[in-house]
Amino acid sequence: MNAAISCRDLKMRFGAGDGAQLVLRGVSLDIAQGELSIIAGPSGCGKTTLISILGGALKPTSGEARAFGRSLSEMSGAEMARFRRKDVGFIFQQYNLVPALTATENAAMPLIIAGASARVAYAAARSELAQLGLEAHADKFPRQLSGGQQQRVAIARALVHQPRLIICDEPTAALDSASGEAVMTILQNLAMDKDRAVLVVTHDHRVFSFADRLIELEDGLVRADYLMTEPLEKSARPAGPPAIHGRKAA
Amino acid sequence: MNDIALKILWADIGKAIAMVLGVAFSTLLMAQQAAIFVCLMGNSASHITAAQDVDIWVADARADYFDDPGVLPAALVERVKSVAGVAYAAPFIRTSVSLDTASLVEQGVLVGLDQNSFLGAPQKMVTGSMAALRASDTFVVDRRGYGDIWPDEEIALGRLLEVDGRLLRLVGIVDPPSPFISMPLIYTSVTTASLLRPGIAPGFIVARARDGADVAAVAKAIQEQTGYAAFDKAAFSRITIDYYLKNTGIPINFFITIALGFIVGTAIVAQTFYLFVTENLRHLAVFKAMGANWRQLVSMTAIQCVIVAAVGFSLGIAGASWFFETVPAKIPAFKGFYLPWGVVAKVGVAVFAISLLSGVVSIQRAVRFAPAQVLRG
Ligand SMILES: Nc1ncnc2c1ncn2[C@@H]1O[C@H](COP(=O)(O)OP(=O)(O)O)[C@@H](O)[C@H]1O
Ligand SMILES: [Mg+2]
Repeated sequence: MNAAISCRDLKMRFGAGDGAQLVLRGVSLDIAQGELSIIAGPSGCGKTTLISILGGALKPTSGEARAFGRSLSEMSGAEMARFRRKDVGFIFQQYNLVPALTATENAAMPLIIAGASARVAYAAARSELAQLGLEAHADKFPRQLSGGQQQRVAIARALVHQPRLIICDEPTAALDSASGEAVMTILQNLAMDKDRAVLVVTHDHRVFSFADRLIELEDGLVRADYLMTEPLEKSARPAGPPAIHGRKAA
Repeated sequence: MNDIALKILWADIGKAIAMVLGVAFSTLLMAQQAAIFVCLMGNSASHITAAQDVDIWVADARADYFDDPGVLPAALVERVKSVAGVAYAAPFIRTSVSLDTASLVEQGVLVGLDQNSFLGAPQKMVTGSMAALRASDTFVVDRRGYGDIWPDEEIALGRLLEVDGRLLRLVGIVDPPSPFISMPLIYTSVTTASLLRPGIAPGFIVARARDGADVAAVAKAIQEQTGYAAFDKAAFSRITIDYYLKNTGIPINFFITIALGFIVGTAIVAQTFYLFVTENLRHLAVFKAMGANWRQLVSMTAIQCVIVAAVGFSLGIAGASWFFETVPAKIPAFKGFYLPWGVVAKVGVAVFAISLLSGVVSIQRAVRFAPAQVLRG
């Protein structure tokens, strides 16, 4: 089985003593490569906390988290940083583009952080932007771009270093439905790559239909875990885990 | 990474200029005050260093600096001459005199020189000659003193001046390096000085060492054989400067200004850097979430600090140089003042230290920032 990312009995506690809050109360799940997984749930249920752990940005209080065969829970801070640098592409909720940098420079940042030369990084960033239809905007600054365009720059930035795991937090929250659908289509196409796992956090019901897998989180626990297969589309794709249409998987 | 850091720095041009100006201002303040201080202290000994032909100063053991001559017996000249290694020795009189002028000047410093050698005379003549002092009741004045005694009048020899009640005739004008005491300098022969002050004793004996002799050793021999203090030029300059450092309020005043420059500079630079880094915290945190390590974040901030410090420092030093290029030529009190390299170097070290320190303090927050915080918005 090709679970790129998995966790078992993951717990996350913030604070200590009376103020302590158990945000994740024992989450277990497996996420495969070649799938678009959506984590849904009400605000405050721990979605962002969960993907922070799975993306190597946060250490869980207890439980086991693994990514591509390595234990995230046992990594040092420096190893986590290396994991994020190499294997993770983040698409943040507020895009988080640097206003002082052009679209190309913003998109090139992960490669520059990884130590690539500016020439190589900018070339890769341009090609990534071109694939997302932003060729004409490559030298513009974020303030010169629309919200949807900024989101696509953020996506280019998440892809430029060819990570195996893409993590998006509420990618459609600030977009109108047309732009939101366009972004989800892009993410869906990314998940066609059998070596790549795409993990999307959202509470936007309109986009659930893009998911291969829908995980519902509530109160720090997995409430439901569905495989959403559409036979026509699935048949064109490599065999994944057994498809159980619209039923609880775990 | 470095060019990204600089793009982020210059993108906020208003803040960048504020930081650069902060550094420039404190550089200017520190460099200018420190240079004036160093020059002023140097001037206190400028007559010693300027008397190029004098190798050794013999002084009363109680006289602890140049502006406080002792009273030496006239016969000491011959005893100094007889010390091995001494080529020549001569009396050197220095005393204050009253001047009767139409201007505000009422006092001058009389310097009485040996009329055979004029040993200890300033080297640079504007007009006339020292040799003309061999005629009695004549004097040579320094250029600045001339301007103070006869303001707005053209340079002309033959003018008469009443010194201690005796009328002397002007036979020359010299241009000595700027003295610490701003009274006119009245140079005469020892003979004329004795006419003004009958029985006046030399304050110093000035001596020249034989070619090739070890000046310090000769000075030591003079001290041992005569029982009077004898210094080579450097040592005598040093004790004179030390005297002013220890016994006047000048150093503490300058120290306060220089320290204020440092504090004000630190405050300005630290605050602008702190604001700058705080505003960039979000981007640094995003870089961190993307896997940048603390070394990369620190080096980004360091490069920004170094560039701001370099540009600000250059501007500040340019300002200070401009000051010392233009002002000393126009204002006599600053004559001979310059910007010493030592001052530039030390201010440079201080300014770069301030900038890096405030950068490092500011970056602490970004380094501590948890990467997951970016995801939470
Ligand atoms: N670093 C933290 N310190 C304290 N509380 C936190 C921290 N991170 C998250 N929380 C709390 O955990 C809960 C879940 O947050 P989050 O994972 O962001 O939820 P979601 O993304 O589902 O809205 C919230 O109540 C939030 O206040
Ligand atoms: Mg969230």
